[in-house]
Amino acid sequence: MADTKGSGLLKRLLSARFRPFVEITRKYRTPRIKMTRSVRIALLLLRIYLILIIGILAFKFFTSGGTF
Amino acid sequence: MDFRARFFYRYRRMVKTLQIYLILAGPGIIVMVADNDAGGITTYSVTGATYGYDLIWFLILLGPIAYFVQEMTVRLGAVTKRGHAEAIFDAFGAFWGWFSLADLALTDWLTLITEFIGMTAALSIFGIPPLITVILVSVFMMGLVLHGRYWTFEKIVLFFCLINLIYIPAAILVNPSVPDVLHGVIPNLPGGDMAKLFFLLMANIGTTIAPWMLFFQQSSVVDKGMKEKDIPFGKIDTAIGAVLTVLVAVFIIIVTATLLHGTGQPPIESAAQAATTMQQENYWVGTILAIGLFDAGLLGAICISLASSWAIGEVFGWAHSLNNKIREARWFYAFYFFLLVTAGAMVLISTEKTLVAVTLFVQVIAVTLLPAALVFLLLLLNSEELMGKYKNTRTQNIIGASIISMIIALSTLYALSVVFPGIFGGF
Repeated sequence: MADTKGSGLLKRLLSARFRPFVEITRKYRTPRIKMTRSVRIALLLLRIYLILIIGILAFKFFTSGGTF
Repeated sequence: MDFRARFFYRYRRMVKTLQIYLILAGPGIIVMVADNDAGGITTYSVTGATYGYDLIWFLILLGPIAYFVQEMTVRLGAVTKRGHAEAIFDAFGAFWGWFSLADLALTDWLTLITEFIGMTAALSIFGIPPLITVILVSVFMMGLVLHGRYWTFEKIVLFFCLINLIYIPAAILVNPSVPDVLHGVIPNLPGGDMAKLFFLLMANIGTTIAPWMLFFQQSSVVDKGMKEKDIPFGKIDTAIGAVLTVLVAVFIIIVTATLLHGTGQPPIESAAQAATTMQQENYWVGTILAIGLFDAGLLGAICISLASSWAIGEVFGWAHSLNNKIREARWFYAFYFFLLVTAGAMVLISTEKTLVAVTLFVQVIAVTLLPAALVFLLLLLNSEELMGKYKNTRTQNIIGASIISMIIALSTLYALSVVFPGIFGGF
């Protein structure tokens, strides 16, 4: 019983802490910029670039024992 | 009579325009001068000590590049009345918004640590312990924003921008060879280790455009309340700032090149080391370099901590203006203090090895934020519904896309050369 109460309290506390993040995510769910072909291509290239660069950096980080 | 009347009218108009400019001046000059932060001063010192006057032309070229990028933030801020973080959330959705905000917060915090490293190193030259420096700087920076007026904050920071020009008298004191300096203005590539040269060129570009600059100037334009009609003044302000930032960079190169290049001294690796070495040659010039390093770190710290606080405040919907009193915008000021205290504490409690790792890591992590922030900037400036008649022209897009592609390519290569030393042939 006490456990249930405790976990409920924790849940409420966490939910209150994360509420602003959830609300902001909901507020900005839909991009407002007109998704023209050039915008789509630019965002796609940016995703590819970031995946590659983060991949390279992560590889270096883990293969050198947690440092650069 | 007609001539006198016309002359008087033109004179009055000029005075009025100048008065309006003086009211609107600030964000452009501050962001550009603060661009020469502690890391920047170190880069220029190393460049001058290593290559003499040979790379002055390259720094002059970087001025228009910095102007072109920052001018876009003026237009975006004045038209949308939104900071860069909020504009990204709104235009590109929550995913890109959170990515940019988290990346900005991390990059800025790490850069703030490097500013504290620069300031403590500079004041250590005068025998002031790091603990005292961190406490004094933190108290000053808190006091700077707490009076609840953007105008006062801006004028005080502009005074510190003026101190940044201290390198000009320093250059005169070292009595450089004017023909040699002028020779450095003509584009040329010094010989020797090309990998080392390429690394320094990339480092100079890396210090010219930093992610926080885009966020700072746009938020600053919004906080100042600039409108569409003020854009021409914002452009002039940014152009003057670009001239000042290049001037400071060039004069640091002149000072370090004159006193440290080709003297057989051990290689210079930091601005603080350059200042100490120069004090042995010319006490006052070394002292000026140390004062300038402290001032640069302080300016950088002020702008970086505000860039993050404004961005977080915009997105979370907190009151986030420097015109707000502390009770009206307590979360905004609390975040600003939190950044200061934690960054200052990191410098005090960390080992030298950790601080070197932070300095390297910040260069690496910036490369994940800068391309995204620049691409978003260019896309936003092309949005007809957002920018209306202030959107980029075709020429502006061609120049903008070229500059941004070059910055992305070179900053990526720079980060890779930091992570994989020797990737470009042994340096």
